[in-house]
Amino acid sequence: MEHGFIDRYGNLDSCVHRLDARVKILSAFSFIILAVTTPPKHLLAFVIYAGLLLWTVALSRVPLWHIVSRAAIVIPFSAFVALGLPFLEGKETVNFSGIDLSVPGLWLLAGAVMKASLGVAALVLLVSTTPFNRLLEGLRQLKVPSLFIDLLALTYRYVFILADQAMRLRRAAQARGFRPRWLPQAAVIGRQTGHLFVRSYNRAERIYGAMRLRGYNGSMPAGPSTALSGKNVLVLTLAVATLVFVRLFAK
Amino acid sequence: MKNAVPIIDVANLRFRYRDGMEALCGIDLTIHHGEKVCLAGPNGAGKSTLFLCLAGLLKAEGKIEIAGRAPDAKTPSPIGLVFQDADDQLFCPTVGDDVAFGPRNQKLPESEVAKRVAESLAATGLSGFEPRSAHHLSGGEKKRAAIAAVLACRPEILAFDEPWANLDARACRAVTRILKDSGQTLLVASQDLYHAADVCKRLIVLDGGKTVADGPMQNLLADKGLLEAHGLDYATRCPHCRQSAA
Amino acid sequence: MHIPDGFVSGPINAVAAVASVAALAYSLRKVKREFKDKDFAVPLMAVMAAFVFAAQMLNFPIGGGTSGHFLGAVVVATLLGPWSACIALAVVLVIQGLLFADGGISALGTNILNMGIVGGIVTYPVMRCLRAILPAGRGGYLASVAATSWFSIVLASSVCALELALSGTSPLGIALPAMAGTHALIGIGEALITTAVLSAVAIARPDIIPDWANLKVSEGATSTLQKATRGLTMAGLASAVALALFVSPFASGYPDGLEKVAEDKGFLETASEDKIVWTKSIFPDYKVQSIESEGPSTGMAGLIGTMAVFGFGFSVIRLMARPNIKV
Repeated sequence: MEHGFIDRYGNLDSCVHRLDARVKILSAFSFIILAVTTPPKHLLAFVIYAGLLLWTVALSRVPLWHIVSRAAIVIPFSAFVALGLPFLEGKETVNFSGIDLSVPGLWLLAGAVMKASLGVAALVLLVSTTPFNRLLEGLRQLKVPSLFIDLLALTYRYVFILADQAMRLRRAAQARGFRPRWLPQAAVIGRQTGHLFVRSYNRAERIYGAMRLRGYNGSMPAGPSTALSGKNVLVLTLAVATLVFVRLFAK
Repeated sequence: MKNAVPIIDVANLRFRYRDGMEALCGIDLTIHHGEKVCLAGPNGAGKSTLFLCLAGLLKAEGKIEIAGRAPDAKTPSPIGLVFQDADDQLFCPTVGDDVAFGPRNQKLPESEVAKRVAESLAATGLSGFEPRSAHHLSGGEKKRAAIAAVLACRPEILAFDEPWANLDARACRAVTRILKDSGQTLLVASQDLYHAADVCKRLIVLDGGKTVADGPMQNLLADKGLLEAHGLDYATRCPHCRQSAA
Repeated sequence: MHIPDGFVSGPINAVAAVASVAALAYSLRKVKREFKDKDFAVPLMAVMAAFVFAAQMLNFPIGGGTSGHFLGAVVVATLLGPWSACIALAVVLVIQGLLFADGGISALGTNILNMGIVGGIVTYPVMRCLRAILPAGRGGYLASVAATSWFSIVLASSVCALELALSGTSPLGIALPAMAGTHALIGIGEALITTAVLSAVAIARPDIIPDWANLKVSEGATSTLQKATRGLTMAGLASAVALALFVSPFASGYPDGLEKVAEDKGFLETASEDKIVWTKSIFPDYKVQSIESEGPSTGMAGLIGTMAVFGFGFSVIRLMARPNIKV
């Protein structure tokens, strides 16, 4: 069922897909952190970041549209910044249809939009080239607490089922002519949500029963863990080194 | 091989729900090793509740001995229970992980775990399904994966709650084959007498939390009055199956 | 309310990340100790997180064609405790971040702080206080949960606005009324949904609600809830007005004050071209003629804006206060 989940392409085959999850996670997170800490005025850096990303997307065979289309989530938050623009005092202003916009403010807006878009793109690429369970295993091997990984894995397994149930409840109401337009109608949605909650709780008890019957004792047993191969280490080092270089020297 | 000591020995089993309703009103049950028994009854008869009590997930009153021990929360049950809803039993990221869950919890070495996973998947016709994730499977595949996950634990007793419900013809046949091939003691709760008769030699009828009949399958099936009185019908087969009993 | 990368400054994200990690570690420990059957905690919280995720997909309208969605922190906190709420929300945020790109990774700590810690943990004592103040009984219980749900949304969004302001991304005078204003309406939806969930649980699985069996069903349950809802809405309107009137003028001054302190203490490098300097400003389209000094003028403009939002919502609120709420 189509949920708008972005891990649709996780099972393709490409050199990027074949990399170890840890390499991809660390590269993506370094990319995001470094991009976010780059001052907006270093336009060249941002251009190079985008270029590196596009090149990786091409290697991965994930459709570009899939990655770019997610960047739209930046728009609502950008509105906040845009609203503030006329009130900033900077040394320079630029006149736009009668309103004085401050140039530092415009840099701020540009920076926010670029960083958010690059962040989204990097993340979508990560998730599109790594099946979620391997992503979680990678995180576990990177020492994220096992308990949290267990929670993430279990939650991931059941979000599809519960989301399906939620959608079905909504469609059933729509089929009976329910088109919410006023806030008080949230009460109907509330009843649907209540329904969903009780079924979810009952399911949790059944799942727990099933786990106990197969010997569950508080932690999910994990598979064997492997060391990073030489090739993976090389790719990771190159990736991070390139990003740091761009961050420090591209202006 | 029939053992003198019953593998399931239950006397006067009673269970009451939180809201006070009595689900099981004094069940007596004696099952020997290797028997294949069907528990039939209308909705609400208490079949699923009985299974949960035998497996130790619900705390019931009365005498319950499974493989010589009373069920308790600390020790794993010798009963491998396959639920009606396979989604409740497939909670790991991949089918392979789910089937390996039981053996890994038994602290078996990885090589033995891998062997059991391969065997269980082969027994259910799902060889090669290790990397698949549960939510991409069809209903029949999910059911078989859940069965594989339970088989991998090598339980002494297998209990199935409505194994043929919501399956298509091919999946029904596959499940029947698995049940017939299994060497363990088998308990099948089902309203589908048509398929159950294919697998089980003994029939116990439950209604209103009590046992109302217990005997050889063929004898009881001939008693139309009994079946009708308790909401059962031998002639009914699941809508997809047109195949006669093998 | 999910903040993307690049909107909140690095230092704030870093501090929030540390706070979130600490809160999560603590919550995980507390949860394992509080559950009678502690092994149940993992599947339960996972399914609760999945529930919150699914419930957040059900949008409700808040008027003017916009919609809001459920947060769920208070529902989980009421039924399973504040620590479970924090964990469930954090799990949902990670999943949403990784699978929807909803919320930036660099801002993950900040989002967990706003929705998990502020939403789930900080509001819990508020609920206990309200329960103590409101009349005992099931009506009072539901009313206190409803009020806390509303409050959790408004508080979380206000903290978000504060973070945006402290990062220099948006002046407090804009961010705060905008965020708090819209979320004051969304909060009403949250309150309605939370109450409905509890009512459904009370009928189907009363054993889940802590202390439910001990609460008396009082005659006035429905009217208590209604009174509380009315009081809530008035309180919400009043706070939004107060924010608009009193905070907006100071918002422009606030970062100046902060910078002045920073300069005095020698923390801030001076005259960096990247530094944004806020000024006392005049709201461009609304010059309130009769008021000459700038402070009240901004305040007035903010007030007008807020009233516009609330004016629409108020008619909606009146509809809701009718005796249609089933308890």
